[in-house]
Amino acid sequence: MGLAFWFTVIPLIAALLILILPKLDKAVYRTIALSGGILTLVLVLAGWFAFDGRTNVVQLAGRIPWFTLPGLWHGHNLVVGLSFGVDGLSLPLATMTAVVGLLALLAVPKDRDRGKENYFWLSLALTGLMAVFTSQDLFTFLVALELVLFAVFFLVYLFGETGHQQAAVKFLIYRGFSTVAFMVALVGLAWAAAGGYAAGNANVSNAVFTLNIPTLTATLHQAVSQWLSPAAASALFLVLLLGVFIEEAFVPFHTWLPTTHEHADTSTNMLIGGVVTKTGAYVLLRFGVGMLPGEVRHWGVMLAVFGVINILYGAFAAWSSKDWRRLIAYSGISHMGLVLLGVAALNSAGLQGAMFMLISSGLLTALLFFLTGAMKDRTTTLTIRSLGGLSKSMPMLSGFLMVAALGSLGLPLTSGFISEIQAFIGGFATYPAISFVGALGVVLSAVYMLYAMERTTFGPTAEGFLQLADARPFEYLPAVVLTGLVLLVGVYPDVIGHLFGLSAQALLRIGG
Amino acid sequence: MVEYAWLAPVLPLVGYVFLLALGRRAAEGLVAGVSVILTFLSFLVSLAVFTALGAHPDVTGTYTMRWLTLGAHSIDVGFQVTHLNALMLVVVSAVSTLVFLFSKGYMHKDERFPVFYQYLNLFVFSMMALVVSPNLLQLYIFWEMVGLCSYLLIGFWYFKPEAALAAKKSFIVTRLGDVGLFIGIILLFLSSGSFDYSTVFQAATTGHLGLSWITPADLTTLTGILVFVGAAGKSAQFPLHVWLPDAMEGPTPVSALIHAATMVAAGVYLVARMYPLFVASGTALTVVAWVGGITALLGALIALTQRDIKRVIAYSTISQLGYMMMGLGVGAYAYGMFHLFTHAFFKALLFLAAGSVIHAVDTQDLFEMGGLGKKMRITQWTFLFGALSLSGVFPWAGFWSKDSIINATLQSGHMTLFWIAEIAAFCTAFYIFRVYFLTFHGKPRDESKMAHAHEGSWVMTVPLIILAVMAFIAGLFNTGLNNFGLQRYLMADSPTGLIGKVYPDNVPLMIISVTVALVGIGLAALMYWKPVISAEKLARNLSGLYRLSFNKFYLDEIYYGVVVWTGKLIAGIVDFFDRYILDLIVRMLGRLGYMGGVGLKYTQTGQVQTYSVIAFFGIMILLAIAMFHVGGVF
Amino acid sequence: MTGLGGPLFPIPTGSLLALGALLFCIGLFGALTRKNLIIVLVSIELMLNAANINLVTFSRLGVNPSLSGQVFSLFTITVAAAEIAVGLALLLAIFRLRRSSEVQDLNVHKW
Repeated sequence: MGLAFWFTVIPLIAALLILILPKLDKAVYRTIALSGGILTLVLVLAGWFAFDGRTNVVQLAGRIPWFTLPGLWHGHNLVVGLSFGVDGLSLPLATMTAVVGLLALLAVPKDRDRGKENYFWLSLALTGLMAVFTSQDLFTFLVALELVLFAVFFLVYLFGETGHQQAAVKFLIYRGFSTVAFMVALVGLAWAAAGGYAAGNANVSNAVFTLNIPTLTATLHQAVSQWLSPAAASALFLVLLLGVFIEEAFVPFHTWLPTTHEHADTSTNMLIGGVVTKTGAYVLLRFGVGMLPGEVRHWGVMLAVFGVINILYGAFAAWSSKDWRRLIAYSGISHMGLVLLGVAALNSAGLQGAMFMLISSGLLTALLFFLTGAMKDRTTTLTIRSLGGLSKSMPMLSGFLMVAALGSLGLPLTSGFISEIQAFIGGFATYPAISFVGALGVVLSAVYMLYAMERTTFGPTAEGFLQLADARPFEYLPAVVLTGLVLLVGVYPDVIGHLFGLSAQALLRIGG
Repeated sequence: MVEYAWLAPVLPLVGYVFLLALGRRAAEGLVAGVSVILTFLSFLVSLAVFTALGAHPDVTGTYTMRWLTLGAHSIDVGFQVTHLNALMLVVVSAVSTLVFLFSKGYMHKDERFPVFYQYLNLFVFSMMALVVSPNLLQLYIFWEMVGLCSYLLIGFWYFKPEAALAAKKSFIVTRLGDVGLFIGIILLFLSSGSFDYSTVFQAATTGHLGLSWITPADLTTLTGILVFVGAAGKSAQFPLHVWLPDAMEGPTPVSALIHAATMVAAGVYLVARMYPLFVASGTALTVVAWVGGITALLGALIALTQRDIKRVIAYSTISQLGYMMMGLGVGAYAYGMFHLFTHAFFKALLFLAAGSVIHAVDTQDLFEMGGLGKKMRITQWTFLFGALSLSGVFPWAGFWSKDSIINATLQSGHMTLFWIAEIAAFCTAFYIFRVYFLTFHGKPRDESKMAHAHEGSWVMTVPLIILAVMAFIAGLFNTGLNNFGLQRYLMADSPTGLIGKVYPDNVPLMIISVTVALVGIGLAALMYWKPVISAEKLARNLSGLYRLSFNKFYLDEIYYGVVVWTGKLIAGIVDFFDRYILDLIVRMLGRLGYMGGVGLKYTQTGQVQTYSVIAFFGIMILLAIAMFHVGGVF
Repeated sequence: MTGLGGPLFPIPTGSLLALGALLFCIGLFGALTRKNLIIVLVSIELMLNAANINLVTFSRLGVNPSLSGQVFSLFTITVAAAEIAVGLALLLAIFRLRRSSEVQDLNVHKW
């Protein structure tokens, strides 16, 4: 069985183990969840060695048949399988999921009241996220999205702060809609591919109805150009795009994200900000660019304009945020706007920049949420106005926060910069005027981040904050790991760059 | 030797890593000692590279490794040594070494002494890496890194709210310029297919710099101006100069190193490095010249009336950077760099001397000082050397370089700029001697603070003396005495004369310039040394002008009122829209669902028989449809 | 005549079906309108028996008339007996709890 199969199965086993074990000490559940997380990470890292970086084909694949729908399409059986594998785009994303997931598990307070449930849902969310990024089968993919949806719903619902129930419901409804849109669009794509195949072969009995993603990617653009009417293709794409917009919290469908972040606890925030908000962009790359490149080109101007709107809207909204968590949420929206711009550009720099941005934004958001969470444990508040002078009592945490903030505003030698410049190179190549406006975001990100930093770590220290403790030993691990990765990608981008480059080239070849 | 030039930036990096490993509690002597020794070694390397290049002008080379692949393009990092780079390496490492030594005394007993040296080492590394960059992307990377170090060092005393604000302001204002550079670099990359200087210049000079939406000539001008916007942000050129005076909130050695000698000169360096591009577009060069001229005058005018010793020197820096830009803008490439070279020494000297004063009296207000000359002989004399050099009095260093620039404006036919330069020169002489007389002569205006004033230890005085010597002799590197060695050295970068012109000495002009400077000094002496003319009276008579100068032409207020306020307004509107319009719609939709549920719940009577009746009629209707519409069921 | 000995009085199929339909309608009307739970249960029995009549009637028809319809009605009667036993037991329990056997009073599922 392929290695990628176990990326998903290990956390699932951990989750089920936690579920079936009777009432035990919290530490037991913690150990199980952490072991699952560590094992997953080890396997993913092993995956880097097993992965052949010279080609973008799906590797480390594992598949077991799940069920069969007999005679679904012109007498052919549809075999639905649990099918996993990684290519150049999936592997770094899976790695980020494993890292952020493990650190999110670590960030759960040891004395959590309902520890069993927390670890269970977290492990389940990790399972779902892994499956989203490694699925090679549409059915598995959609199931995984649903899994993420309700696991995160429960995490927010059960472990948030005042107002978390409403926030969780908001999350559920929004993301539920996006899943519906994905389901419609993706099944539509599978149907279009089969129809196109049938038309191309003039013999319906040869038609194959498949949910296999690589096969679909290989056959679909032909089907679209030969068989599907332009209106139908556009409709499919727009439905998919609607799902992406909601899933990714793009303006104007973004209001769930700040609300959720404001009310969720630290570990959930790390997971949401780090990984859950990256699935939509993944769908856009995998299914939008990968299967409907013509439509991406056709709607390119609209995508680019929305990208810039997101960059600026997110930045301005972050500027006026009064709470760190809302600020981080909006800065994430701003970053994702850049992803949209890069995708719209539809050239190697743009796509590569978008992929880098997924990783960069994921790492930085998780880091920011971890650090602000650690501060909140001490100061009990994250209202920017009421903080100040934290450098005095917690110099190390403040230092890490500074690195994270600088990464977030795109300082060179952090991952933020390398993503930003590639996305903008792509953007300027295709849409110079729109990108020109978008470049304003580079200044704005400095404005809101440094404004928040000035009010948080600089300035006179309030009386109540003088005696606060700096980072404890176990808090160093997440901070150091995430900071290290941010700097690694920034200093030597080729570490993931060559994989993303292959993926971007492969995606660009699809359109012909 | 040239192939070892990478050692120059790497040595401070080693220092940074070493200090980082030592931690925040390391001993002051160890920290400072290691830093000074490593920087000094870096200086020796730079000097060796500089001389090696002088002996064999053709060995300039590029050494690179792959960093990132972007489609078909490979992006490299590495280092390149040209004559310009070699000169910058020497200037940066020399001033750094002296400032490192000085800081040992100045920052003594500061709680975060090791952190201060960490930041400084990181800065020196970044600055040198910037200088030796073989391509625009690497330049931009370290361009931002030096900006970061500047930010961290301005905000070094983080507990001071003014320092925090100043740090933020410096980063954001320079970032505003950096966006221009960012876009410029991207456009250059897209049009020439490479970040490498040589490729870009090749394309620019042969007119091959083209994109589909713009003509090659326009693109050259556009990218030139965008690059200059970046340079203007870093080098505090009008209208992006507002951050530099505020940056004086940082410790004084930082002001000397970063905000006088090196980082702020990076903008000038950038324009010089990109000179073929500017030459290819005459318009861009004209913009550089005029912005430089305006900045030179504006900085000098504001400096006339400031009360804070460091702010006067800061505005002086702005003004002098304007001179350099003007020099480059009128085509005098070598003179612009020559002024950068001399300015680095005499301005660092002025700042360090001011630091020595501040260290002694613990105030920065000129009107609380006075009579310090008796207690601080060395500081007084070295400051005087710096002031004479800045004023452009023969034969101090500033005289040679500034006069070359003024000469170039005249010879190249920019008469307006020539007059601007002369007026600014007059103001320069006046304001710096105003500072000198107010600080070192007359009676102490605040006895309590003067009482304890004394000279610092040798670590502080030795750098002052060395810099004073340099401020005196640095100008001689480009005179008839050595057959104009510096300009010949610099022009070797492009033997074809692509990088501007040089002009023969103009003795009548020299006499005029020195006279202007002496008149300025004389006026300052009459107002502040032997008060023949009352400064207050003059200020009252010219109250409009005085207030304009004292309030820095209200540029801060204009910025706040226009840029910041607009931004905040938009942010507020976005916030309002987000909360009360967009989220309202979302909540209304949610409400709609809820209302629907509330409405429909009344059908839930709990009466089984009612349900059954409805089900019965439902089945009847379905059967009826089946029978009459679809047909064939019965 | 069929091979099952033939009826004593050959009642026409239509009449039997009409009887079934009538019985069903009476039962349905009773089940939907009567207030007392016992009467409702009785009405339900009526509907079941209407179904039984139909089963028996239809067993005469077809190309191969067979006994299976009549056998099926026996099953139905059995099930009906079980059902009425459960129904009555529930009724008793409800009556003990609520002191009422009126249908309108059983509205715990109201909004």
